Amino acid sequence: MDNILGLTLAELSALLERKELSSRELIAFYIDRIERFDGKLLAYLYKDAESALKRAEQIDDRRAKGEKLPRSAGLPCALKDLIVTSDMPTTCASKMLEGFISPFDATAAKNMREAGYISLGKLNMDQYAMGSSGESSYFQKTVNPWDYSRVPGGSSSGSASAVAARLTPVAISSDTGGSIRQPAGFCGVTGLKPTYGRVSRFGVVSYASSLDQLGPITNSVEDAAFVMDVLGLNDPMDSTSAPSKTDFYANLQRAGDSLKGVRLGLPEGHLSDLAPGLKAAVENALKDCEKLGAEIVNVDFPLAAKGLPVYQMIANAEAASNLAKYDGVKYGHRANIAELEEMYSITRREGFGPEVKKRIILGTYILLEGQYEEYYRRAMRIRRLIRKDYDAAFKKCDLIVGPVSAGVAFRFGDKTISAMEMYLNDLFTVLLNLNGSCGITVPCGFGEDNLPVGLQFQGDMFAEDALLRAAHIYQQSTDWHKRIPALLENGVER
Amino acid sequence: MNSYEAVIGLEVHVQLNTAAKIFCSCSAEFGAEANSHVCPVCMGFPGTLPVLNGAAVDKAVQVGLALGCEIQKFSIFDRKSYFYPDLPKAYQITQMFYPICLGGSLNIDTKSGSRRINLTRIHMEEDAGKLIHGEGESAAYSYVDFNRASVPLVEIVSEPDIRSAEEARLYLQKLRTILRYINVSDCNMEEGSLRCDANISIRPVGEAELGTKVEIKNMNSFRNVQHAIEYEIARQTEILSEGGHIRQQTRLWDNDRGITLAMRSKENAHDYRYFPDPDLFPLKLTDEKIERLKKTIPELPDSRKARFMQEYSLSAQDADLLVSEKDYADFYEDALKIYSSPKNIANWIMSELLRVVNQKGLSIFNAGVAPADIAQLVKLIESGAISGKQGKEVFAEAVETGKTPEAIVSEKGLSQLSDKGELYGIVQKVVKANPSEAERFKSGEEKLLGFFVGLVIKESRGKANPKLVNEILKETLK
Amino acid sequence: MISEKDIMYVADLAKIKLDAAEVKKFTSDLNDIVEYAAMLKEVDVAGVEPMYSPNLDEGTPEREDVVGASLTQSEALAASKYIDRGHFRVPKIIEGQ
Repeated sequence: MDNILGLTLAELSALLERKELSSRELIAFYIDRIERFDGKLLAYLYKDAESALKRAEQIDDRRAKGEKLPRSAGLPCALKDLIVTSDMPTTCASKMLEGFISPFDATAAKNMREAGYISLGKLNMDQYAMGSSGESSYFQKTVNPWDYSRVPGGSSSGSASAVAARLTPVAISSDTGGSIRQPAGFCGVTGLKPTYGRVSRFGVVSYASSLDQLGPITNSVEDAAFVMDVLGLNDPMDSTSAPSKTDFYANLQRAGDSLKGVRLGLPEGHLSDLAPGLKAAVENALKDCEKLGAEIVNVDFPLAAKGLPVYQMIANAEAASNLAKYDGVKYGHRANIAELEEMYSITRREGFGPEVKKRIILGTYILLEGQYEEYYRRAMRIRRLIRKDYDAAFKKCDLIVGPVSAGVAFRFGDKTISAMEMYLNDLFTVLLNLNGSCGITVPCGFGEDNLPVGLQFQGDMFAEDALLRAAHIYQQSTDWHKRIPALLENGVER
Repeated sequence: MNSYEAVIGLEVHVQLNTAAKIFCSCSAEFGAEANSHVCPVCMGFPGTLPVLNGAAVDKAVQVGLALGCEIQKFSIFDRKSYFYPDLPKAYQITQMFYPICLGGSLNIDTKSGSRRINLTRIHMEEDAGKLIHGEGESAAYSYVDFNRASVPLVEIVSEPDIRSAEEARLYLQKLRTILRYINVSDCNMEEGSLRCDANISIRPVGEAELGTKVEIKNMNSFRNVQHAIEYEIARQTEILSEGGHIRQQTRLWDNDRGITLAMRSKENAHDYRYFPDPDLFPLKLTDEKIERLKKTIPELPDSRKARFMQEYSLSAQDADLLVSEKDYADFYEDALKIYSSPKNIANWIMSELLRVVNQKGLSIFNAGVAPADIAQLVKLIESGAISGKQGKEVFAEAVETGKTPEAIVSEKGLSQLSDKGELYGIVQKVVKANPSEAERFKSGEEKLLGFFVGLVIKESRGKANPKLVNEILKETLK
Repeated sequence: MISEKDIMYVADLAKIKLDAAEVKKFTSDLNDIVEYAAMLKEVDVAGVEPMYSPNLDEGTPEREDVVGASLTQSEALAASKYIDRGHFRVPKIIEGQ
């Protein structure tokens, strides 16, 4: 059974289809791993083994009867706990939504289920997706499976940790400023942020509406493409949803093994100020790409340094507005207080953690009548200039390549001191969200303290095929994505 | 003492009569059981997103076209943020910076002539839910019903062109008439599908600068609007006359006490933190769409009134009444198509039919008589087949039974006796039976004519045409 | 400079009760961030339209005016403990004076 861990989703799908493996066995295998290892990793906020096994048996029964099933029928998955589901609580790792059960399913959850994926549970995250370490979860701190004293990154902390530890082969996560790509880098897994609009946001608890995008965290680019065929459907419930695309995997099958003719743009300055071990891994990866035929060209983002404050203005303003609905009236936490204004302000004081409160206060300030023009609107105008920089870069190259973080996963508590330090983790990732186009992190080696290093590719709007192709060809030439961390079971290394 | 003039601008919220809400597919119908026309979207559940109802856009454009606005091919939905239990997302989706319509105007007919009231803008937005304030043992609570949340609205903002409470009422009534003409709303103030806030300031006559404005809310009938504004003008006039200053504030009309009251100061100070809703792309309108919607705008009351006066020689007052509802004017012209007697048909509609319509609270097309019936009835009277008095009986019967006037007339044998030969026979008989009265008449006692007419009509069991009877009697008794 | 008074005003708008220590901390944090954001003022944005969304050239899609399924009253109220006779119950709101 242990060789299951080495198989892609497509290979597992083939085994299921040939009835060489039952869905029940596959689901039971992952449930067993969760039971053994999640006690220390703390990746899951909610697990429902019984329902998952029951669904697996149903799928096995249908298959036994000769029913034609979708190719992903019976495969396991898990969801970041901001994707609402009517069969499990959705908490956003907050006290505000503790125990909250949505009256409907997110489109992504619905599409996954209709394609036959079986959800193992909901994954921990930074509270309301605000953070880069996972530490702002109200419930628990997920650890990095490569070193339990280190953060897994954030905000998709549970997702990256669970996929790295093989407690699920795929986690559906979200990326607002790097929340898929950065933890994927910290945990040595593959994380795709599709183009804005590619995956429906309906049923995804909003952080910043013009930046949020769902995507998969997996163990390979191939698996990411496999899942995207299910996630990439147009959704009439999301006004910003793009037309359906369901040929990610088929196109990847024709990828070949050469990067000849592919121009990879390396942004000016992206290799300076990196941790030396991480830098060496990224440089080696760039050399590997060249060996595969790619041409590395220099590209320039003159406004890169402005990206972070622009991101902060936009993300926090939108967040302050999106999180206003948590007022205690319709659902979620409510302080039992007899005066309305007090009810609101105590409910929200109690329901939100400090990071969330800070961002709401900042976002509210930015949107004040007197500040709106100077901060929010100005940020949105600079955002258009950043888009122009991307457009110019994509005239010189096909994809942009570089590191996804300046250092490897840091120790718990290390960066909770200054407000600015934490935000610096977003430095390499936020520009892409501002532009709205797609990007992917793939593992490219190990750096300081033998911790994983991620390589980030960025593509143009709706250019997922080209992005996945290059990342796949690079990944196929390495075995970084096949490395599995040694996990602690009852304190014993396995 | 100075004399002051009022400067008034109205902000009118109109619920559009779409089937579904503006950003979700819940029913927009009024009057359902509490919290039963709701879904995760209009209740602001986590993860929900708005999707715009195209019919609400069409209707908003129709409003703009009917009011002569410049339709904006590019508009943006913004979020207006404030906390209130009836506002599920704690922001309202509205259009602050780029509304769907700019400019426009409408004319009101005041005693001193027609006045043009200019519009500033029209924008689309979603309604909030409804709050009920507990009483008795529930007095510590308010209760929220989200059925109305996200019902589509347009807000029509006038320039400060209105000068009196009466003009304000006329403006609102005219607006209502036009909006009902284009079938975008039923404009029922009591049910809240038409709501009006007023910005009022006063200034010494001749002064160009505007005074401090006060906003009045909570006026839920046309009469309330007039009373509230009258009250507020008087209140401000008194303050200024006594050398005081007007405070900029929002006041609520208290209908029971007939006064306006200042709202708590907290609600006066608001920073709504408007910004474009990132969940919606801009609203883009094509020329084709605007052209298509232009074709749906019917002849509007002003031009229809002018045409009625010219084409049918109606008085301004009659034309006003007939065009006050599109249905009335349509009914009238449908009847004219069948029998062209503009004056008489107008009279029958205005005096008889509208009485029934108002009594029964029905629409004119459902009151029991069709345009063809009124046409037929007028024709029967004008041809002398029945008398005017009989006509009223026939009308009542038609309303009651739904039968056509002709059928009623023939069933009841109501048709007038107009056959001269037959009438002549009856007259002869009556004259013969009353020889002394006949002699007295012949010798000049003309008041006896009525006596004979009565007898003839009695003899004919009421059917004799009185006009003919008169003629024949005069001839016979010469 | 953002003052503690500003923070209290904003916290009141955002309906989050803060204690004195939080007001102090958020004042300092926000000043850091806003100082950092001051670099945005160096960028020449003359004539540049804001990019409110990555796919801004799109017009917003329009739904047909067809009534779909709603929640039942009990489903609508299910996520709140503060319900009464089909309504959400909140502390009394005093309108007017």
